[in-house]
Amino acid sequence: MSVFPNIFLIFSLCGLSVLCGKKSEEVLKIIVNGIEYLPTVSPTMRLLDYLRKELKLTGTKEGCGEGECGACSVLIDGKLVNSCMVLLGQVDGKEITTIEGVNDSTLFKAFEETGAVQCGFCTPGMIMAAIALLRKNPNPSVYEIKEAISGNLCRCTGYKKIVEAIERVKRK
Amino acid sequence: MGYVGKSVSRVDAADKIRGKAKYIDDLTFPDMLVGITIRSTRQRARIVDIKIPELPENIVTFSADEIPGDNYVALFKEDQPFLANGIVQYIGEPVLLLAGPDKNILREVEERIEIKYEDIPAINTIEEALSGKFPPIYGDENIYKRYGYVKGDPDSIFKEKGKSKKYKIFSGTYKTGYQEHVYLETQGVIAMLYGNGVKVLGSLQCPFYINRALAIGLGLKPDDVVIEQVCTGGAFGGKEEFPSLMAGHAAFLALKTGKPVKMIYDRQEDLLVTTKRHPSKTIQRIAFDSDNRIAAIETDFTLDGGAHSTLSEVVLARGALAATGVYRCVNSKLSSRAVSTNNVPSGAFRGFGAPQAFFAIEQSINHSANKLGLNPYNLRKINILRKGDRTTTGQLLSESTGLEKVLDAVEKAADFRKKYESYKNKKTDDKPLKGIGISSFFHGIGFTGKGEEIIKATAAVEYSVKDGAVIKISTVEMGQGMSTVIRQIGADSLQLPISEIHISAPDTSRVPNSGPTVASRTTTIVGGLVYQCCMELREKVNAKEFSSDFSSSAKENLDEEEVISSTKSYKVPKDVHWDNDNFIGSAYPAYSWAAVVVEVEVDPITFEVSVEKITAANDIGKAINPVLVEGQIEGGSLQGLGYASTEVMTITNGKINNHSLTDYIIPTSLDTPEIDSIIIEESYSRGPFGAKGVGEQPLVGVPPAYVGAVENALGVEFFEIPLTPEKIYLKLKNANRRVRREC
Repeated sequence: MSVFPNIFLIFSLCGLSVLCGKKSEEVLKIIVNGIEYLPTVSPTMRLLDYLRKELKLTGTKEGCGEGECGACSVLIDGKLVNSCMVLLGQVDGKEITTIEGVNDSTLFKAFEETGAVQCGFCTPGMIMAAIALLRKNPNPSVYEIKEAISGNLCRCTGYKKIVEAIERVKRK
Repeated sequence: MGYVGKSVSRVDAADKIRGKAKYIDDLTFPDMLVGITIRSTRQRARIVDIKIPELPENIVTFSADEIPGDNYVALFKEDQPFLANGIVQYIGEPVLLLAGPDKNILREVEERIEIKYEDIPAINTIEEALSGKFPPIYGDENIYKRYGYVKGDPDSIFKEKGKSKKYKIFSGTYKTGYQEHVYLETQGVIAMLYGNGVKVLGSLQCPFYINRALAIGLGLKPDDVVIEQVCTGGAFGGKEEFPSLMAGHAAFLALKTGKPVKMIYDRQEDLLVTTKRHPSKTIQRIAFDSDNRIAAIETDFTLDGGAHSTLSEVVLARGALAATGVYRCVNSKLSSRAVSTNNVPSGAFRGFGAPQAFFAIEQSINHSANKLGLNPYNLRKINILRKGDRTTTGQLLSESTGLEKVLDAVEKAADFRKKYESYKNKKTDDKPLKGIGISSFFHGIGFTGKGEEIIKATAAVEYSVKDGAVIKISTVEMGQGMSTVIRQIGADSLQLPISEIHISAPDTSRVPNSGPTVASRTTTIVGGLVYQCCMELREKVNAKEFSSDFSSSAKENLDEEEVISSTKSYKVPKDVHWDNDNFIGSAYPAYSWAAVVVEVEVDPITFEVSVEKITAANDIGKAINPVLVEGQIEGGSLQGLGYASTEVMTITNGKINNHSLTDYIIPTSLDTPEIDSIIIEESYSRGPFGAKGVGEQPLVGVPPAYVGAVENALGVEFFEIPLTPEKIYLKLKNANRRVRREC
């Protein structure tokens, strides 16, 4: 239903050709939540696995591994991306933000108070989607909110309270 | 009394929002290995030979003949093996296990394992299962369970057909498809050596189901098998019985290797091999007298149970009890069965047989209304159960029967009658094609029939002035809000701040068995026990009356660290009797009641249906936490809508065709209509603070209301869900209706 995954797939494939041009002895450098890392693992490792397994940042979740569900959403240079569809080599020199790097108490409070959280597995991804939206569009309409989180599946809430939470923190 | 009825923020929200909550795949242990399952690629076959190549030292295999205990996953019957024992019954049946440090290497090893099979003719469908032409999978008749009854004299009424005009008789055959849970977190467990046995951590609903199954499979004492639920990313019934199988696999590997073993299914594996909602076929006849009262209902209800029995018999019971819906009906005949096929085993899923049966009865009512020239709301008003009526099984509805209220509430809120008539009588070229549909339904609270009597749920509450209250139950938080609601009940029962109420981790070595987290039984049954425990604690500190202050009485009567405790087990009320063989008496101690209206617009060219609004009213006795209740209604409604429309899962020769979230389509935010939740509180005297359950119910009635709305828009009848644009197109084409218009 979402058009986003396919875009990310294309993005990933384009990235692969860039990867091939990179010599293996060249050192990767990525910035995660403001900290610089020089990964020693294969550049073909998924960004999701690098975050979860190497950096132990387990707030980013794997829900499908195919770019459909958005549970693994992170920001790459401010853009919302499914980290299961991105290889480490593609984010060389880029700045990654995960849920652990977010400290938006207004948004957190809104999610808590509106009842936007049930099982919580989609929640970190939803927060990342909300942040990406609000940075670009501080005063979104309900439709724009729905559109912005349409790449993030939630099976518990029916989305209504998630939309309400994001509406509540519309930046004036 | 300060918490019940208030929308207290969830106690688990803060950690989940910040990504701090630890789900099973977020946990690691020293030396932990990964386990994978080698599965059958055949639908039904004898295993002739398994050839395992030479393996590196750090990779371990585990086969059926190494199982230390009995090779069956204990539940109701003993037919499901942990690992196929010489014969496979479905594609995906576990045959062999592998453990090692790296999952990718294990998958490479899997490629080199050769399993030789000798095929047996497979049973694909309900019809084939009952044909007698195939060797049975289960028993002599290939049936897991039957239920049937005759109440009153339905035969004489149906015989009237053609002879007199006393009764109007309508019939239909209704079908429902698979539905997959798509909990966002796939199935996962970690097993490790512990004490004299094993400990399993996992994403699961029923710690004591697994405790029992593993004790039998591992040949250990139940006390040597410790099960602990960790933060669970959605379940919806999908983590009721399935985790017993998977926990067994991880435990076998942990015992053999001596190391912790983690097993996590990826989404494809989860979609292909875990249980799903039973597909169903219902043949139903319904007779109306001249006053449009239901004179008789005859139902033939069949579920496809798949290759193993799992929970089919209880799913069947819940469906069978919903056969006559929410209507007064003294003449009724039911025959029902759950059959075995060589398809992936079906299992528990929110609603549990009721969505299938209610789809049939509610569509029967919708179709009948149309043929009788009545508004579907009016036909329901003539026939619904009210306080003082008896159900088809003879249960007296003596209290808490808010059915008429919920029906009236949705009619009024959605302006149903007026819209229904105006859409029905519209000109055919009206654009877009609008429709509105309605349904009314119930959910029986707790286990069906004698279930609660058998399980004897037990809860305990401990209290000390120093540490406050600790509630000990095996009931789990899986997203539904249990940990908040049970605390609210505890806090108001003891009149303590909610911060002084704690819930012990659901670990089978530390908590009593309060039963599985299923059947919308938590608030009423487990919450009721917690309430009783708290009342006993009040007595112990001489603060029996609510007017006296528990906290100050406790300080007077107890030393700072002195712990008092109360343990209570569920007792079936003396006036609740149930005859399971003949379906006589009180099937459930109480019912929650609901009605829902769905409004749609149908694109006249593509037949895409866009849902504009869902109005759902639920009588749940008392909303302990209204925001959490709304969350159940909104989420359940959307799951019901997916079941009715987009969630197509088909199976060809035992192979599921939809094995990714790209081709099994659950609703996104953009597919979500406006959802208006109306809460009705007809207090239930035996529920804590009057509460009944709400978890499953909101899903149950959405499909017939949705299909009814499409019928209202298009003027044709539909008998099957999911109702896709393709099916609408074919129906209109076959009805010789103009299916395309000039653009």
